[in-house]
Amino acid sequence: MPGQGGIAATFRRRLVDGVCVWLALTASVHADEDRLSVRSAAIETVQGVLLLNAEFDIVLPEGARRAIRDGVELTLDVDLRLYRERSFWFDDSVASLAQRYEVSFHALTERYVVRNLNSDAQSTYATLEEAVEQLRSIHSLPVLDRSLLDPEERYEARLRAMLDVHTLPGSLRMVLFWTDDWEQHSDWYAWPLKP
Amino acid sequence: MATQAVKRGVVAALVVIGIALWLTAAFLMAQSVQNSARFSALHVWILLINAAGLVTLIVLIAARILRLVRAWRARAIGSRLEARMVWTFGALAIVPIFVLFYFSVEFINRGIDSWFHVEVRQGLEDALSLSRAAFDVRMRESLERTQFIAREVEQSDRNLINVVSQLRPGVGASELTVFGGSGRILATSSERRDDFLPLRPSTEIVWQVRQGRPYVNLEPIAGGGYFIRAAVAIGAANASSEQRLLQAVYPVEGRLGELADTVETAYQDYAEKARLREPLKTSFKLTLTLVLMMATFAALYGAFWAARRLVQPIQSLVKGTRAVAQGDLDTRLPLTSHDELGMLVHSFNDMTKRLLRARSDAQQSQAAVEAERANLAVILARLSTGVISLQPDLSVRTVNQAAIAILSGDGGDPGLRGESDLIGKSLDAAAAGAPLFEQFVLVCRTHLEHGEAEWREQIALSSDTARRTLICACTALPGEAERPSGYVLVFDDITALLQAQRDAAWGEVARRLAHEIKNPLTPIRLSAERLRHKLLEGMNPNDAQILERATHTIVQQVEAMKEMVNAFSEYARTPKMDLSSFDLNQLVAEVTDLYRAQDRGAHAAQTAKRHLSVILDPQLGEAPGAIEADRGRLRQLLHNLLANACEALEGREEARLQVETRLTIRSGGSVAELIVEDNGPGFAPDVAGRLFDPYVTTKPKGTGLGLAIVKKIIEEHGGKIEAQNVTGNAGESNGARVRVELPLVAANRAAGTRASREAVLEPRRERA
Repeated sequence: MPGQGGIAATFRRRLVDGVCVWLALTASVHADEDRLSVRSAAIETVQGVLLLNAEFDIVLPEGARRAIRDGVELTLDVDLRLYRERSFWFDDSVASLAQRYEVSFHALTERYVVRNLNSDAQSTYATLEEAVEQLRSIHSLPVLDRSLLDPEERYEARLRAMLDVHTLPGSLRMVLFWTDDWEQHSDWYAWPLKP
Repeated sequence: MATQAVKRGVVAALVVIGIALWLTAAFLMAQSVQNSARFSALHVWILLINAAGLVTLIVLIAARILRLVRAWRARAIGSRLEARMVWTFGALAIVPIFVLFYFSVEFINRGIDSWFHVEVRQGLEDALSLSRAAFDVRMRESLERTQFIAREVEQSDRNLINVVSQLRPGVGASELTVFGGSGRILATSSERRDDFLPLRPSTEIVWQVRQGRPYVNLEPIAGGGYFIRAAVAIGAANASSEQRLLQAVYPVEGRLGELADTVETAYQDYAEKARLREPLKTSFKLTLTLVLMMATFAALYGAFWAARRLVQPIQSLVKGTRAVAQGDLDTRLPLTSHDELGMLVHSFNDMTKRLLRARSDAQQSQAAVEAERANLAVILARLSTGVISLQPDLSVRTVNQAAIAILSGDGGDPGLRGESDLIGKSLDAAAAGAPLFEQFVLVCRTHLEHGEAEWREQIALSSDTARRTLICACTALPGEAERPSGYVLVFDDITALLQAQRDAAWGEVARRLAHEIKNPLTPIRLSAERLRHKLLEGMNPNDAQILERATHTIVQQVEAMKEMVNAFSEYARTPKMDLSSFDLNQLVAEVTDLYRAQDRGAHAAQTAKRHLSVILDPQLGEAPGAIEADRGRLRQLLHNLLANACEALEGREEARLQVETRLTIRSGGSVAELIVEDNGPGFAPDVAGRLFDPYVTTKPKGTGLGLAIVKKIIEEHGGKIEAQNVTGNAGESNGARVRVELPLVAANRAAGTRASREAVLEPRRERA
């Protein structure tokens, strides 16, 4: 039945076209909204310790800035993972490191406080831009002792960041799932590592 | 039943679990609106449970609605009641829920809005400003002290570290550091002695100081409390020499810090709450809506469930009632509950049980009655007495075979076929077409219409073909309130009895006549001859002639009387059979030849044209066809019949006489038939029924014994005789026919006796 086959083929082609267009659209929307990404990341060895240096691109929309000024906390989660590469199986996770930073506005002193939630170290800044600037780069964050890695093996490091402006508490966020929220995930940034 | 119970149990358990889950979920959700962190992890589950519950309920309710709609369309029993109940229950439950929902939403809106007054916000902001003002004084003092130290350091030539250490406790600073260009620490002093690393000035501070503006600021400490940081340049800004920077950190005493923290926390909390106002309201409303939907659907489902539960026993009752109405008394309904409906079901079951028992009792008694009736019917059928029972309106209730046999003519009246044809008809309708029955009905009706319920009468019935005498008795059946519930007519055919009596009487008469009359006849004749012999010679011719004539007449008449008396004695004589086996055809031929000879002789002149035809069945002459009878008496029988016919044909033009023999096979054995037919005037209607009686005659001559003797001979041989008129096409009499049946063998004659008696009932005429 060539007639029916033709119709079916046309339909299938149209369907495929539609799916492609939809994928392209969603991809472009995501690209537009890409407010957080890992610009660069590297691990250097200083005195037998692996240190992480990373740069992030962070774009804060005006709404998020206003929310932070009104007392909402901004958190940045940095997630680093080290994998040992294996030929015929999943890579072995060697180490992982999570760092969490928080930016909040202190109303009394009218200053922006940046805290490292892991170490509880904090510093204050007069403007939000200065405070965020601190989050944009990580300098010499100790990751691992080099002696723990096997020089014969190949390793891979993966890094990603998650930015969240907590305008709603967790529960309300679940209930009001459709409201705009400032949560952002960067893609994984991976690079080979030679110990 | 067991699987039903298990299924019901599982469903109940599921319902309970579902309700418990839903309540928990709603409770957690209400809690989580207040306390966010604890329940955020459960939220997905809470939402899923609610969504699943809702979907389940919607599917269940949709299924119920679909079923109800189908039942409604199919006009199933109970569907309307169920729909009305669902509607009522649903409305009763849902309306209050919606009212409650409306007021709750209103309450949430107003309640939450009332928390956020402008005054509160303003107060908090004022507290904040007050705190800042309090700190401003200290900050200024701290800056002045720092500037003092800076001047001291600038002017002193001593070791920088010593100066700093000396001055620090004096100004009350917790930390005092001098930074050189590019942030190098030149000297530092701190309260803390161990492992001390001075605070680094931020680029912001460095830039500000480099521009010649002193820096002072209040900074929060992680974990609560504040410190004041002040930074000033040491000496004038100098491009050539390196710019030194003095940074001093002053602690804020605990009490002030705590107060400031409280104010800050309160402000932040309020700000957060203000910010969450709308989302919180939305969340509350959402929770409420979810609870509302669940409650509504649950109520709706509950309404369906309750309606179903109420309607089910009613449905089964209706079904049971229908089944009982259609005669299925084995219907038993399951007892579901012990309430009023249960009692109803119980009563229903009891009722059907009783009905069943009553029906079986009725069937048994009916069977007994039927058996009794059958017995009675058998008895009635065997009875030779006719029995007819009548309804009060004189329609036939029962009739037996004997009654039909008696009331229908032997020829078989077409009106009377069988008992079932008569039952239920009125007497007149039943009798229509049967003349004997009609006459009988007339008599009965006369009595009954005169109110005579009990009577007894002898009834004579006659038709063209038959004549019967019945003795009939009527009795009323006992009924209610002096009205009879019917009548029973019992009658017997006594025609034969009367005939037998008559025959016996005639036999007696004949015997007496023979005896009493025959004796004087001889003396009379002898005396008359003697008178003639003695007196004739002495008389004159005239007297002699008179005497001659008188004595001749006496002798002649005495002879005639003798003949008559002989005939009577012949009739009355006790039969003495002289049986022998012979050929009937031969006998017939002998006798008919005699009559043929007579024709040629004496009567030739008068009846030249009389034609005698003889048809003989050759089978009769053969060995098996030979008849066993008294030859002499059969000869007399033939003579009588032929003489009778010849007399009837006297003086008739185109006279025709036919004699025929025939061999007929009957169920009781072979019979020889002898038929004598003439074309004379036929039998007179007024003598019908008495044709074979003695001394019945319509002719001037004759004893009237001819046919009576014929009949007697036939009876002696166990045969049967019929006499009837031959009717032409237009119904006119076209001559007479006498048919005689004689059994071939003497042994068969026992049965023939009855047949010969019946022959008396045949229509007859008298020509003897």
